[in-house]
Amino acid sequence: MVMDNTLDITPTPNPKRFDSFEHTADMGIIAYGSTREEAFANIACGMFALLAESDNITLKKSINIEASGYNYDELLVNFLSELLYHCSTKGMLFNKVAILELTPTLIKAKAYGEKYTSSKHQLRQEIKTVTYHQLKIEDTGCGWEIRVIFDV
Amino acid sequence: MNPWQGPIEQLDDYRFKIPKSYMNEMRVPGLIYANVEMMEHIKNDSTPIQIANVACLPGIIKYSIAMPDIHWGYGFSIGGVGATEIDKGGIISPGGVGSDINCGVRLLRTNLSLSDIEDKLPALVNGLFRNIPAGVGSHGAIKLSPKDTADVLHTGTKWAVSHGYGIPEDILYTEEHGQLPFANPEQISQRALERGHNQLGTLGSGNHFLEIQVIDRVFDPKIAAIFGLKEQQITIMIHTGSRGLGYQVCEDYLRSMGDASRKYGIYLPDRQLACAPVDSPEGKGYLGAMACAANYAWANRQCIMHLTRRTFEQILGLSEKEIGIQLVYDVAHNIAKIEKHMVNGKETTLCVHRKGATRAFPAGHPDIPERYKDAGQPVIVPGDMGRASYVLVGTQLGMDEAFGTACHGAGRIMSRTRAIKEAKGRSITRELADKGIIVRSSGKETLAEEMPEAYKDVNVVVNILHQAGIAKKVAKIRPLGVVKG
Repeated sequence: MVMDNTLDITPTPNPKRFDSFEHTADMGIIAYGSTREEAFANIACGMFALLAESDNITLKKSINIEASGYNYDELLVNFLSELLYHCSTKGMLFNKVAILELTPTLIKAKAYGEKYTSSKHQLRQEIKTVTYHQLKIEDTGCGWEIRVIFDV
Repeated sequence: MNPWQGPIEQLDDYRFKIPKSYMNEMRVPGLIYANVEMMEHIKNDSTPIQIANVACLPGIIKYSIAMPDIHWGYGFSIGGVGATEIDKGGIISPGGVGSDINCGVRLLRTNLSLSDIEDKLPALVNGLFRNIPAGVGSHGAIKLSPKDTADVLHTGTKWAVSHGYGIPEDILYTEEHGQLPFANPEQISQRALERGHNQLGTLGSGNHFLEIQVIDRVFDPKIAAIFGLKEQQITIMIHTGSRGLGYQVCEDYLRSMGDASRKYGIYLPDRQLACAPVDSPEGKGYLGAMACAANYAWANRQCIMHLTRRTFEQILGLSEKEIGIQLVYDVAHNIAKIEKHMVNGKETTLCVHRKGATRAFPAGHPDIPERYKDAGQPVIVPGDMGRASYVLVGTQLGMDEAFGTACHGAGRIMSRTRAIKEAKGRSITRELADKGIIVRSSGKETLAEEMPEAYKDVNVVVNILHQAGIAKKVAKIRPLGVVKG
């Protein structure tokens, strides 16, 4: 094996999955990932951390999620809305998402979590909708970043 | 957020204009009701850019208007008003209505005075908290069969009253009689129905509330008497909307309106302003769906009013007649309406978006209840849970200048996160108790998010409209007991 003595400049992705930030009346999540797929998965988990204390969500059940869109922005909003739908109608809370396929117009994923139980989970706030405001999906050069603001 | 750098022209003490020249795409100027001090805050919030963006929408006429409680929102700012001329390709935008379609407020009067209930106040607040589901995803008060759901979407308040959740008189004192006629349940997705089937009669979370109050001061005794209000009288205020069903309609149509905007070649300065001509299939689709959600919200507030009546009877041990809970008025403050207004001396059909803004029709308008004909429409303005709420009345000037519209509340000034930070180590419950206000809440962080300092001073907000002549003050109401989600 030939050793290359040039400096290793491979960027180190942010070790955190996501952070929250504040925005006038509402809340935003910034998610990180070494790939676009990973950032998509992490923004989904970040959204559930806004909804509920997410540390004690057990990965008991998985649900297949599929969404489409005109571009990556629409795809992301529709994907997160799809997850919210499972939360608001079926009481599902997710804390892990595996992206199975991601094109600019289609996403297929598997979301893992469990049903909300009032004795176990503490709900934090209701998310009314996922918004396009200041939505960003970008390759920063040291990993992918996705910013989404939620109407709460 | 960057502070506003564009031009603002002060027209008088309470009116500020964003000239059309600010952006090439603006079709009309912006008009903001504020005072000099508030204007500084509005500039820092960068809401003027949102007012300018709305001024670019096809068919908009006169002005893109902002009420003094304005703050940042998605697409339209909260406190934003935009009217489009339907015959001239005027659009309708879900971003001009908001995600909580027909979020609104109703004010109930009673035969009780403060001395009648002072001792029983804690029991009343606890009773309301127990009987009316509140909080994130609250459900369960009334379950609807698919047939009932369709009826609620079609007939709104009428469904509630015909199922025993109220009296026929309640219908008369609800904006639009609690039923927009163009509701089309076929435009409602299965998902929206799923989210709506078990949430009727629930308060929800966030800024929604149910409040027991007392009238602190009457400014206009003649009009107050017409509204059945007097000092020291106990009133009740209900603030909620269309719950998950409305959010889902907003989401569904924000999605399809993106395609429609591309199809009709509409320039969108902001994706959240996605829209379609009112007269297009997409526009009619949204209008039909929005009306369903609006009707659901009116039925929701009606059912909560019913639960409130029963709770008062139960706790006070008095009859319905003795307590005398009657509806003063119910207003929608997140809605788009098809209305006739005079434009350049000609009656014109408009689509009036009121997002965080309240209809405020003047005396003599055919759409207000007979009893209020000589007074004008009551405008219910909830403030924060520690200060005050107001009853205003619509004026002719407000009709001519602002499409018959007034403010909807105090308006947020602090982000929820900052409010939670500022409230750390404090007990908001105790602080309010020191002021004589009992508060119960289901959410852990709700009280911090909703603390009085998180809002503009409602007294200042309503004074601006009063001084500008857009609506007139009738009565000031003080909170006594608050149920929050």
